[in-house]
Order: sequence, then C-alpha cells, then structure tokens
Amino acid sequence: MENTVQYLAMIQSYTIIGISLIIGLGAVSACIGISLMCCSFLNGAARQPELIPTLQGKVFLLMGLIDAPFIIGVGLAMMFAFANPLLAVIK
Amino acid sequence: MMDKITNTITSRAFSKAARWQIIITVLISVVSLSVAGMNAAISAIAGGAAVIAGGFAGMMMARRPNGGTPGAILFSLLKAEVIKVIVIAMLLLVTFKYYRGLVSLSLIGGLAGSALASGAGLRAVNNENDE
Repeated sequence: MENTVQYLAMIQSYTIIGISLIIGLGAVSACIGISLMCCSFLNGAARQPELIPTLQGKVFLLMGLIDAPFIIGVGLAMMFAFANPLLAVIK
Repeated sequence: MMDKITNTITSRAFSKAARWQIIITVLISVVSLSVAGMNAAISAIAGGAAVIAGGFAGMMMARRPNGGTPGAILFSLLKAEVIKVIVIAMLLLVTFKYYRGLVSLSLIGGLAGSALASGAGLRAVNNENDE
C-alpha cells in the first residue's frame, strides 16, 4: 500500500515537471519564432509599404504555423494533467 | 481601401486553411472510428474543431480595423494570436474536463493534424499575389 502511494506521488511529481517543461519550452520557442517573423514583417513593411496587405495575411497564417507545436504541446500537457496514461501502471 | 483589401486576403487565407483543416480532421476522425470506435472519432473532431474555432476567433480579431501603420497591424495580429491560443486552450480544457468517454490520442491526433494543416492557407495568399 505504502509503495503504491509512493509510486503514485513519484509519477505525479515527474508528470508535473514534464508538463512544465512542455509548456515552458514550447512557449519560449514560439516566442522566438514569432519575434523573428515580426522583425522581418516590420523590415519588409518599412521597405515596401504597398506590400503590407499581402504581408499581413502571410504573417497571420505563419503565426498559426509557428504556434502549432506549442498548441500541440498544450494538448499533450492537458492529456497528462487530466488523463495521465502513466498512472495505468499503478491501477 | 487598404483595410478592405487586407480583410479580403486574410479571409481568403483563413477559408482556404479552414477547408484543409476540416478535410484533415474528418480523415483522422474516420481512421479513429475504424480503429478505436465512436468515442475516438468524436474526440478527433473535438480536437480539430478547437483549432478551427480558435483560428476563426483570431481571424475575426485580425479583421478589426486598425491604424494601418505596420506597428498597429502587428499589435492587432499579436492580439489575434493571443485570442486564438486562449480559445483553443479553453475549448481543450472543457473537452478534457467534461467529456467522459474521451480518447486522448485521437484528440491529440485531430489537434495536431488540424494545427499543422493551417499552413495550407499560404497557397491562397500566393495565388492572390500572382493575380
């Protein structure tokens, strides 16, 4: 019984560390990608203002693409938070 | 005038992306249905629908009139992205919390497929440029 509780606590604590890493590193990488793209957008808009509408559409789509790994990471993190498959070992 | 052109380009890009997202989500849902049953199919659709709804909310935010300067446009796009991520996270949270028969892997599959398919809208913007 005690061993089971210990295993449960250990799995939950490691899962929390994993969730933090997934969300934290995902957010950092998405921020770096978006900041680089915004920098390029401002550069392009300053050089050729007539291209702003086209660039805006592309930036909107590419932001979604850069954020995709972060969103997938959030989904995975929620899976581990609400329906942790690792806990099946104990049950 | 500039706002109208920009809104048209953004809407076309989103509708093109949404079309591919729906196709990919339905495909993943059909595969999940054949492999793991009805709950898996519904989970895949829930994952894909969360991304599509978030993208729609972001698009509505991006379409709002802004100053027209690059800085204002960028700020508006960043706000749209924040709204999109918040909507997706909230929908996922509600799904995970209240859907009892959830099949997690199918949901993640639908979510990932739909999120990655959003890049297909780039083709619409490129075609717009060619015209």
